[in-house]
Amino acid sequence: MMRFTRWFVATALLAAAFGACKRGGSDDDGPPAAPPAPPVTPPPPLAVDLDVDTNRNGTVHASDDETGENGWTSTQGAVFYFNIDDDDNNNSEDHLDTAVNGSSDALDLARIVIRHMPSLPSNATLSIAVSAGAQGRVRVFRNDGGSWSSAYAAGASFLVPASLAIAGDVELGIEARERYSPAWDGRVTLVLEARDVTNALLGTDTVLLKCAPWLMASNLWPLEDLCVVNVGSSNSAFRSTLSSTCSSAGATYVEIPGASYSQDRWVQDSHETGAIYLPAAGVPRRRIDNVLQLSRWREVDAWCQNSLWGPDFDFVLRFSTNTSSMNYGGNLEVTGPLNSYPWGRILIGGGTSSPIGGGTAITRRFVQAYRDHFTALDAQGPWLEISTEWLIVGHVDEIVQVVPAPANSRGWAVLIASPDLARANLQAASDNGGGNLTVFAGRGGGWQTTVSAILGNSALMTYNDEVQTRIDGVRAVLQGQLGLASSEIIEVPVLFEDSGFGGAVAYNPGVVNLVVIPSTNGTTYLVIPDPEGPDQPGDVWQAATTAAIQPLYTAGSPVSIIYTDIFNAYHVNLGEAHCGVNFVRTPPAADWWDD
Amino acid sequence: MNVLLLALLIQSPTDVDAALDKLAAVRPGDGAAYVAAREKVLAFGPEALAPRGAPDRWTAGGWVRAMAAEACRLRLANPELAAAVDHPEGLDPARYRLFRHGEPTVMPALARLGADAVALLIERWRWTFELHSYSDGEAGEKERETLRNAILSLPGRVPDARTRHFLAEVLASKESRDAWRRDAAVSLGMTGGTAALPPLTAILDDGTQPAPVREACARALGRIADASALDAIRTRLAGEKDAQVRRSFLHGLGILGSAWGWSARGKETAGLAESMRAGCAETLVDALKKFPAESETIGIALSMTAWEPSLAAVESIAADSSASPEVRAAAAQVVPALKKSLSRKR
Repeated sequence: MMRFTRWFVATALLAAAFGACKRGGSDDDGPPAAPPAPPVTPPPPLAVDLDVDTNRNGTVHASDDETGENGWTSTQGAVFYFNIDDDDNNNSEDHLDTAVNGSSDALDLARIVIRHMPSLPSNATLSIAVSAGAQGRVRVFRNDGGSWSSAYAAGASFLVPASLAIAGDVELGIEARERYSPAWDGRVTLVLEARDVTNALLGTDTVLLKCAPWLMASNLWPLEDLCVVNVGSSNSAFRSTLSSTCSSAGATYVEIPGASYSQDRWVQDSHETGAIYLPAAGVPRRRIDNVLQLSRWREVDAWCQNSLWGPDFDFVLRFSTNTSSMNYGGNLEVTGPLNSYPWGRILIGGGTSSPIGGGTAITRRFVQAYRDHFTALDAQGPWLEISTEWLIVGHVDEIVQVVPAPANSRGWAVLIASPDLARANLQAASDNGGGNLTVFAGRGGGWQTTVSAILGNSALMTYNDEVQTRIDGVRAVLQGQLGLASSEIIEVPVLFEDSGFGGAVAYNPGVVNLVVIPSTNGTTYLVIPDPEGPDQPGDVWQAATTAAIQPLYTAGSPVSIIYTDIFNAYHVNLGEAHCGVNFVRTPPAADWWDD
Repeated sequence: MNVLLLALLIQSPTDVDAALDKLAAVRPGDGAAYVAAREKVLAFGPEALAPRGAPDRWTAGGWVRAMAAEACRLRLANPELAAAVDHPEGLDPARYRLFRHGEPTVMPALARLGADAVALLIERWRWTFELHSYSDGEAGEKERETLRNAILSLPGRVPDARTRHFLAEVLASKESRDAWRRDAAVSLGMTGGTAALPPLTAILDDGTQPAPVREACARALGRIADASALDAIRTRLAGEKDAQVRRSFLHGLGILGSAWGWSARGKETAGLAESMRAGCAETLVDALKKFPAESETIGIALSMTAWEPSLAAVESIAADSSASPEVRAAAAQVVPALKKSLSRKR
């Protein structure tokens, strides 16, 4: 809101006093008074006005953006951008330099306008104070006739030459230089002050802007691009399945050359993709894709940096040196929309418990710096942690996966690993005379076994009994913390085994660790690890998985389930299908700021 | 006729036994001496070694010799197996860097080799552990500990009752690291049957033993599928002063009473299964009143036991106005998980 100045008020008071004196003189009985002096014309009032895109229509308007400019609500409040794309392709985040690198980079600056102040004394001082929490975390540029120069990078405030405001509107552009964290909630308040030569305040105006939060991509968002590492013949069937499924889904299939990245195939773990939405002129919103690099420090991590990062594709460089597998992308998922979380809620794994089988409790969690970041991202945070510390890898995607469920009122469901179902499937096969049926048929290295051998292995069954109690604990958390009904958590058959030190890993290829491909054609494609169960007549674990998933879909929004061989490339290496892929997805056509 | 065959023909049983005696007497850790002595034993061929490494030879006084004989026999009869044991894939940095977590992991692959791998692994434990190459520094230590954990845990996982004396030796030795003694204790519980009770309870009842080792022995009792193990836990639970040991007794009751575990043991154990599950559940319900702070562990254990009458008993405690608020709260906390488990297992 613009403020009329103290100078104007003071001048008016002086003029009134002057007039009163004159009137006093006219009451005198002395000689006739001299003709009155010509009236003093007060200077035009000084309006100190700082404007931002309060109504989020992509432009800054002098009057339309006035109301609510110093606050933030679901309908009003300006947005700015953490400038971490690379418009000049110099392999450096754009916010790191003090230049505006071309028109694309200029587009990344949220505009702030100091309105024309023709009556501002030429010796006045114009300053903009930056709120304490944002100091040093934003950068402001000034546009002088099409040439941008840095006006602020650190400190409590910065100056703007008064002559510029006297001559006309002054355009500024602001970018964030730092991600959300406990130390900064992404908000900046700017206070413009005009002061005269005596430092008397002539006027002031305040605006508030909020940095657009990262929106982590959900499995419910339609797929645009899918990437997988080519590690040769061992994953050729998987790649072929993904390629053809992407073709059906209208998505782009991308292969990463494994030889260039030491055959590191776990591209799911290297980064998490998402999007930023910004207000824009002429279109509903501007989308900038985003990569959050995770604290993994392994070979294929470089791929997203080399291949995805670029103009209008953000890159948040990892910000921890901790290399625990708890920090990988498979341990970071997001739910579908919830009442209090329209963009879903971030789900991570970790906790404190004894290993399966007992022993001293251990704590394994996502590293603190990332947990803090997820909490600060108020669109999808604070994170919800489920117990995965008892898994040797420790990821949420080993036990749960969010899938579209158009037949559900909520529109999505959680698949959850179930040793109980896997065991029951084997027991049913055995009861039907299939005790000698082969499991993991044709697999060497001692893998091939029988239904009876599994069911008769008391150590394995006891181990899975305990795993099931842990997973039931996770189920209880999902129901209690997210408000999911029991019917919204769908069990799929997965047995686990001890991989050493009590740490659990999927025994059969983990069907819960699937690739979710919603498409714009209305069909959801699910590429699921072939569990390689006994055939009676078909694979009983496949049949149970399909039977569990199929009811989540409708004739109008069907599902296409594709089982694929991931055994040698992934399963024996302690991962499954989801672990081997990553995505770029289309965010919903909705504005986060409405929520 | 080659020289080896000729040597075999002219060697007497006495020669074989003498060579085996010499092999078994090699000082633990002296890999070079062992390998040299082993070459002489290998020359006798698998048929000569088979009876000397038979399961009945793995006695308290003879297991080292029998294990060495069996390991030598396997090297001759199944060189592929020996190679797989000598060079576990999951211990090779080039290989384990491909694992999802990027760390050495050998247990699943070694377990799938079956009981035959056990003798070769114990041979490595005793004599040739350091003959193989490991990475430098911290990575190498992790590789070593991963392999040691697998060697000690696999006998229980297979399970292989021959290894009882080996495991008891590791458990009893105060020169062993606590971590090794712990793994040996649990494995002994899984393989030793009731014969494992004396060495486990001896340590449990020895207050001078390190608490982490006693804790593992408490858990190990839960692996002995016999009423005597339940009695051993019952008689010690109430008087146990160490909270972690007490917690492990409770955990052990869940494992001992596991409904799926007993189902896996077959219909012939159905009678014992009923009494064991009932006994474990009753002990756990009773423990809920004495140790309400352990409700999480007790809840998991009761869920594994899934003994139907325990639900009413726990609900009764939750509703008992004469019980302390802590006890009632602990019981109430257990109910949902127990209900879920019972619904699964009905």
